[in-house]
Amino acid sequence: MTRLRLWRRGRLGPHHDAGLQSERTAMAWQRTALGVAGVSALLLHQSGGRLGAAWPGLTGLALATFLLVLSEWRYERSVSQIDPWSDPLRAPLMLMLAFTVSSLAVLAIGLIIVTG
Amino acid sequence: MTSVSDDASLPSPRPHREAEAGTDPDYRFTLANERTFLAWIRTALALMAAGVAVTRFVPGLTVMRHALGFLLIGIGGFLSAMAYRDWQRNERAMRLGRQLPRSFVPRLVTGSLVIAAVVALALVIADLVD
Repeated sequence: MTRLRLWRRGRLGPHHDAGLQSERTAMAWQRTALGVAGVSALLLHQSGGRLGAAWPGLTGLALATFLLVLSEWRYERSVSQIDPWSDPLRAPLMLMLAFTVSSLAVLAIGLIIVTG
Repeated sequence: MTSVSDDASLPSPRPHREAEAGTDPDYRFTLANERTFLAWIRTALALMAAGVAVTRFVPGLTVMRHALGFLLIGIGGFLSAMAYRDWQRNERAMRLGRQLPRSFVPRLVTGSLVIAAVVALALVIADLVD
């Protein structure tokens, strides 16, 4: 019951973000999402308008959007203090991000070789 | 478990899964480790963007431009993987209360950036002299 109430109170109530750790973390996620979006836009530009070569950039933009939404969701969850320190999704999420950025690097090299 | 909050209604920490040895560190450290990971990811993304820009805008032979650009992009991709590895190692060390492990990654980034900058500068100067 308490949990449910805290969850709904979210950012509006007297939240529990001592030292603003959660806010900084959410902003770091947002900057990272913007970085992914920036590189994806470069890759889209590099694809020269060909749909067949555009999918790396489009995938990256989709990931960036997902990360932006997720950052807000995790922030709300974190300040609502539903186990802010033990997030079972943390490790998979980071693995996914690192893997995608590495893949974007490989795809960028491939795209430059193909499109010249 | 150290908590900075004085809220008495804190839920007790969950029982640990077997994969997670040790105890939960102060959540501030967990978040700081997370932000460090993200900062490395952004560094990787910046290197990739720089690599794409180098292949397009640095003057000189196409082979040289592409070699330099691909080097930067490749380092970016490698950094991203290393960011995850370091995050995981730091997380484990914090859970077990050990000293944080050393990483070769900062030195690698500094060294390769210096080399890339010198090569790019040489290409630009060679183009100006021509």
